[in-house]
Amino acid sequence: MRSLRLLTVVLLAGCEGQIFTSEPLVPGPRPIDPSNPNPTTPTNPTNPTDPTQPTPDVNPFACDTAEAPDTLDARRLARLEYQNALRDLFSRALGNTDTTALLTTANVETRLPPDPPGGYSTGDTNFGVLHATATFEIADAIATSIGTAPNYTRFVTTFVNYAPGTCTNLTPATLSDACEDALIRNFLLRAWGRPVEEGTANLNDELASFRQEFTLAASSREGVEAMVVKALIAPQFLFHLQIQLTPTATPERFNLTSHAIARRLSFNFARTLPSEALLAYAATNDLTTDQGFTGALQLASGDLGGTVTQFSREWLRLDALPQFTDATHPKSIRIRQGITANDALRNDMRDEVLELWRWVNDNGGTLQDVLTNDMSFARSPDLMRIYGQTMPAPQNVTAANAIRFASGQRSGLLTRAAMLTSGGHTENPIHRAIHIRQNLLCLSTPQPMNLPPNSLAPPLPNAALTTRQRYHEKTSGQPCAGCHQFINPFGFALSNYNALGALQPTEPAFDANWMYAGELTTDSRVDLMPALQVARTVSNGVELSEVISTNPNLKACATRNLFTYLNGLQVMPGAAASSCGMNRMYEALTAGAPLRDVVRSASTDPRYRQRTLRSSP
Amino acid sequence: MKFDRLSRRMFLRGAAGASLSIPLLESLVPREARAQGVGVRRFISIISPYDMGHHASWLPNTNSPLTNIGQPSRTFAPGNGHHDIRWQPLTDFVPNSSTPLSIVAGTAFNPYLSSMNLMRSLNHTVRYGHGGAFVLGGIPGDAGILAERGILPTIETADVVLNKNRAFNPAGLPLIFCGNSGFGPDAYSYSANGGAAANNTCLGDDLLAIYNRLFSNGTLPENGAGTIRHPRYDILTRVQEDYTRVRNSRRISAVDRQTLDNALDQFRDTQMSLTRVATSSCSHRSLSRQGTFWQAASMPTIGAAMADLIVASIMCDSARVFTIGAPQLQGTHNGQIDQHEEVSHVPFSQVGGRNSWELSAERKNAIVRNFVAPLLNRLSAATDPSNGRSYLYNSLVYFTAESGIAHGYGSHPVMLFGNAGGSVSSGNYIDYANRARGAFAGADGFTDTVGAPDFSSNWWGVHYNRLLVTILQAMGLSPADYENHSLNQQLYGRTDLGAGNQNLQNIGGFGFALPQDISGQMTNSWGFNTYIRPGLENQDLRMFSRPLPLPT
Repeated sequence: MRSLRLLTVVLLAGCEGQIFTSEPLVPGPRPIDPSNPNPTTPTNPTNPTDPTQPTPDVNPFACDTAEAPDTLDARRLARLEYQNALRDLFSRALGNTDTTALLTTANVETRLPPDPPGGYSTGDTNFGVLHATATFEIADAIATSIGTAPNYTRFVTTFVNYAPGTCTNLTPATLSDACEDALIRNFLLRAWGRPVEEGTANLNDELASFRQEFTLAASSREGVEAMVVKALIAPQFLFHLQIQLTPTATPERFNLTSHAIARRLSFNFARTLPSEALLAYAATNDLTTDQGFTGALQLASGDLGGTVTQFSREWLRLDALPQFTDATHPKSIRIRQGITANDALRNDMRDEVLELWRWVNDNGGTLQDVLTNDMSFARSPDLMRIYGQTMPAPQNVTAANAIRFASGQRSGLLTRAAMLTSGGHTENPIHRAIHIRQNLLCLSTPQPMNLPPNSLAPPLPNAALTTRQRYHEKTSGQPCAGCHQFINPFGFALSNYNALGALQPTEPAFDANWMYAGELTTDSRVDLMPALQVARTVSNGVELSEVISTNPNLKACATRNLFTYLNGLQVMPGAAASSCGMNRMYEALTAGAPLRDVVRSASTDPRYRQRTLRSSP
Repeated sequence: MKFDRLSRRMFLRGAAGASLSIPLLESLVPREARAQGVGVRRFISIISPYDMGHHASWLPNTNSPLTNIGQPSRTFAPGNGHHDIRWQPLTDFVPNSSTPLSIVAGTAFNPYLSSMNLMRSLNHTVRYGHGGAFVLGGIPGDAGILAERGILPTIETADVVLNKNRAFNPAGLPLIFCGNSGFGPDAYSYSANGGAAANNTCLGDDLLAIYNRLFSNGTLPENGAGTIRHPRYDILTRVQEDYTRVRNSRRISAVDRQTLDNALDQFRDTQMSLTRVATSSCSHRSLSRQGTFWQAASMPTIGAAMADLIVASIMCDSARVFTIGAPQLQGTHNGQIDQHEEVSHVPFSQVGGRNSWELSAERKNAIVRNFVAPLLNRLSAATDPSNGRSYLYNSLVYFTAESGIAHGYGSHPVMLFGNAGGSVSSGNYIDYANRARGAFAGADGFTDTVGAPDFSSNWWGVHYNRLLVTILQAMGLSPADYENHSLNQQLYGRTDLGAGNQNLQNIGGFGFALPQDISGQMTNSWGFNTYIRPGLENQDLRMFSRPLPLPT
């Protein structure tokens, strides 16, 4: 349950001593403000400069034409990238089925350390001994498997024949020097996404290093195995390491080579190594030019469904949905009505949201569509019951065959079960609100301090009060109300969904001993002025979704998160960061561009093809 | 992973440069033990998530006033300017085996009281929240959780410092960091190579994964069956050369170099682990490795299996430092919800007519019963051939929670077991309070409550990091192995930080004495006076480098 801590740390909290600001999801240093060490009145959460005005829809990310390119400092491949890279590399020779078997035999899935919680997987630069040991063991197991029949011959033949050069009469069992060179060049081109360095110009003769393995080996087979091990734990494979550079006229600014750009694009948009088509394109085109780059971008970003779903999975923390508890609680029994609330249902809830994102992306939809789409992707009986569906979603959902929620009852991301479930017997409007505020809108949520006793305990059951009323009562006094006035409306607007996410026009009420005491009508009507500085009263989550879908905070927050994810940043840029890439992303969102174009937009800045390289800290 | 097995005869010749006349037993104990004739020491830290709750739940006599420790006859004076210390034998509080020592300990530790030290009044200098990283001396990278908390760089934690020390760990055995990792950037264990430290990757909860790490995927020979070396051991040497060549190439940034240097270190450690020497007492293949450690709080068999793995690893000498994030009893417990804020932040909340802190303590007791005590049982029952004493005698086992009272300054809970091969005395309840400095109230707004229990029996004591100094020195390290003069420069030469901290020049010790950068802060500000000054001024940092005085 510790994964819930970020979300729950503010549960019912008073907020004395804190300031509302937009802040990074990935927390950074936040020193005390000496000029205002103990503020008691929170400022406008959406527009700290003017407490009476909503956030203006002005691009908050400046683009300075003199801006330096990113530093692109070395970082480890994320777990998913590493797995994809292995799969795509060896499937060239072994095909998909045998490659799956190869990776299963190597225990890739279980050997790799898990991604750490917090932040995006792409930004985890940590490389500890577990990573070193795991990647070595995986490389060792793969190499051993490659050295056995029939994999060996398929592997050698495939990679030599990509460009045999002077290798004639290929005999896998006894490779000639020319065939060894061809194998090394062709394999490393695909493993590292760029041609191997030859000679001493860059003080790094990679070809010579790999030739040595064949010299030391007792047989060609041993040499190939050693080559595979060495290639797979080389820094050029395990890290995003941009060292293939050409100088520009500006000090510390370098152009990436065409292959380096292609590799960057491929990992940005497909989370894997460049395809054969992209490698070939990089070999024959200058990707530092706009024209050359545009072609490469199209090749690398043809299918962004995987990238979009993985991003949404991490942004919304869909792998950390609350576990179901309290199965025997009287209220659980009443609301679950035989629904099996277990890990399978959690996964169904998660997958339904992922499919929503993929569908919107694949069909040219926008971020706004994600917030308002009314199609169900539920197929499991339990999730269907939560949604009140009698028919499962078609396997291939289209606009024509989709099962749609009844108007006004449910639509968009915020009303999906994954976003609503509490895991327990009662919905938690504060958790729901924090998730929206903090993760979707990047609005800061103050930490609780100086709390009266029992502040954080859930409100007691009361036969006369709805859940909303009980939470309101609990948070309406000072010091809690100072902050909760900005928090609660997001959660209260979802009051007509129960702890599983099912629609509840009425909710079961319980007395102080958790004895059922009848039904109470839920009320999900809220005034959004205090929370969003928007003069709008919404009736429910559907209307809340509509408002949020066009809110500038959502666009800015999506921009910051997507940019962070795509570029593997450790710390999310600030709310008013200067970044031409984010500037373009925000513009694309404002223009209502399809999701896939938003994803691509940051890379169209020319600085994407460059690197700032500082040789001293 | 597959290994070439060298014959034992080859090993004896190679390692000892001697003949087959080397006695069998001697060849099969850890290497430096043979050389030095002393016990091999191990350090196991077990960190329970969530805060301490209430000190009463960890300390004896929960039904009596907490001030009763330290009758005049049980006080000793460390001398050299140190205040007097109160103590009492633990057996005084446990007249019979059915008397619980405390709520957290229950009766589970009663058989091991002579090997135990229970400490109180070890304090931090800043208030913090969710500071799991403080336990072993790091600083949380997540400085954003509370505004008052540090913006200093994270540093290497004591477990890593210890494990990297080649006098302590000459074979470069891996550090085993497993279980609950802590909380994201507040992980329990950090490594550094050059710049700021990064949190170590946790092995996780899966007993099979832990087994595989401890016993080389099951290939570690049993019963002294020889030495093994991985057939691709030499490739790793050449891979390291490749890393070096890349980091020395022309177009590479300073940060790239640092990243590659770190990776180089990690592969060096990986390579060292590819040569393993089997001990005669090594047996592991029959051990259970099914399940996940988080189940241990509710399933005694899982806790016992985990204890078996740890002890077998020690007997096989496949690891010497273990950092274990303990699970917590999952789910609702007597009405208390299993969420951090319910368990940690609200000690005086009433749940089903009981204090929340009592329920929190019961959650911790579950892991004590199911894992910590079985671990002690196995360590005390097995004899270390290196010196004929028990493994518990030769080790230190540290059980604690992620922070003190309600994330405040106060009284980080410490239960320390074992004697580090005779370096540490044991059997006592020791109160390091300096009562001349008075008592302090709760933190984070948890003010004293009318009626008992409350926080009123908390006294300013000594700096928590002195426990880490104690542990490091007990493991055989010298101050030069872990002290970093530069860490505390911000405190040197000042006259505004308390009477005991005037014009300090070099305080030594381990880690940051004040894990908060105050260089740009106004020392008369509300924030400083609220969050920092009380914790700092009630420390005598001239004592920062000293190990904790122990009754003899």
